[in-house]
This record gives sequence, C-alpha cells and structure tokens, in this order.
Amino acid sequence: MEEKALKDKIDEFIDYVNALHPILDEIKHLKKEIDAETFEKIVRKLKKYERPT
Amino acid sequence: MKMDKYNEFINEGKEDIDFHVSRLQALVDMALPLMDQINKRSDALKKYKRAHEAIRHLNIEWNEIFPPPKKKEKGGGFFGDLLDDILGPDKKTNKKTNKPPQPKRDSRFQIGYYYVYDPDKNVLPKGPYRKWKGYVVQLIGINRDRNKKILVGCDTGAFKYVSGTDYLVKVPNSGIVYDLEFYTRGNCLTGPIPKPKGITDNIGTEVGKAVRGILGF
Repeated sequence: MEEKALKDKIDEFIDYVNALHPILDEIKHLKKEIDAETFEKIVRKLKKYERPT
Repeated sequence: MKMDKYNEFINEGKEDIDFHVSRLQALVDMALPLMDQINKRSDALKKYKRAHEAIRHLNIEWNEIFPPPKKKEKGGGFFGDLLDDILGPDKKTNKKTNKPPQPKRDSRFQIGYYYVYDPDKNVLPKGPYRKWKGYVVQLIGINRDRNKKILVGCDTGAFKYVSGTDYLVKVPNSGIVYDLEFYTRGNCLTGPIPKPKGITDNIGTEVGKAVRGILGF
C-alpha cells in the first residue's frame, strides 16, 4: 500500500477510535447511575463486539 | 442526527433514571456504527504502531465498562481465590496419578506446605483428593521467628490443592514470614462443624480476610 494511502487509512481509523472515546466515557459514567439489569439490556448490542480487536 | 438527540437529553437537564436510560440508549446508538467501522479496519491496521496504540487505549476503556469475566474454579470461594493468588490457578488433576500438578520449588519465595488429615481414619488420604471434599481444612500459620503455630483459619475449598505433598507457597508483599500448613479436622474457629457443606463460604470468607490481614495482602 502506498505510504500516503496507508497514512490516510490509519488516520481515518484513529478518527473513529477518537470519536468513540468520549462516548465510552459517558457510558462509563452512566453505568454508575443505572441498575445493572437495565444497563446490560441496553448495551447488549454494543457488548456483542466483546472488545475492540 | 443522533448527536442532536443526545444533546437534547443533556439540555433537558433531567436527573431521573429515565433520563439516564435515554442517554445511554442514545450513546449506544452512536457507538455502534463507530464500532463497526473500527472492527472492519482493525485487523488490517493493528500491525502498525499508531493503530495498535489506539486499539490498546480503546481496550483499556472498553474493559473498564465491560470487565472481562474472572475465571473461577468450580466451587471456589474467597479462600479458594486467595489460594489461586498464592499458588496460581488450579490445574486439572493428572489422570494417571490422580494427583494435582506439583508446583516447582523456588527459593526466592517463602516455603509453605500443607497436608490433609482424615479425622476418622487418622491417616493421610490416598486417591483422588476430591474424595475428601467436605472436610474442613485448617490453615495454620507458623511464625518462623517464634516457631509458633497460629490458627489463622480454615476452609473446605482448599482441597483442590491437597495432595499430601509439600508445596511451595508464594506469598507476595508479605512482611511477615509464615509457613502455611493445612490439615483437615471437624472443628474450626467457629466451633464444631458436623456438616461443613453450606457454611463453607462463610468460613472461607472470614478466613480469607484473616489470612489477607495477617499476610499483608
């Protein structure tokens, strides 16, 4: 892969990761406010990813 | 836009549970497409340092929200976990010898040992150690300086480690030198225990606390 194209791809990837960080941060705070059952129910779809790989 | 939906919730300033639930739902809706994009690319890009670092940081945050489940041995209680900390995770019994795996000796750590004693037969047990499940194991701390044995607790969950053989016990962060000796009896700190089953957890928990306190971790 051309160096410039690779750099762009990595930049794009990191943009996605950076966009996710504040969202996860908010989710982390809300986890403390909501009962565990409700939390699990809502995040089920997200949790299917298990963890970023 | 989903972000507008989220901001709408923020601006309303509600503090009730419904509000939190709605916020969470909106956040998850926003996170899902991002996760899709990240997962599509991560395999191809993780070999590059910048992408690898980004994934690593994401993993840290992810694990704070969704902690990976702890591997727990069947029947293990507080004290069982403590032993896992000390001895390392239990491994399967050797099918040929019916003995649990033997830890390697390492002189860098404190040496301890334990053995089982069958109060009915007054002999060391033979055969699969699980056969002995149901007895209470007493944990004896031996202060090397004073050469004095101290009963620090007991538990039945420790049987997975019992083989009648000397064991090395690694006790991290301990300022006190103790050997650990285990054996079975029908009595414990809390008095006679005719049927250990059902009260094991309480014993283990109390003992675990005591041991942690004594050993300093």
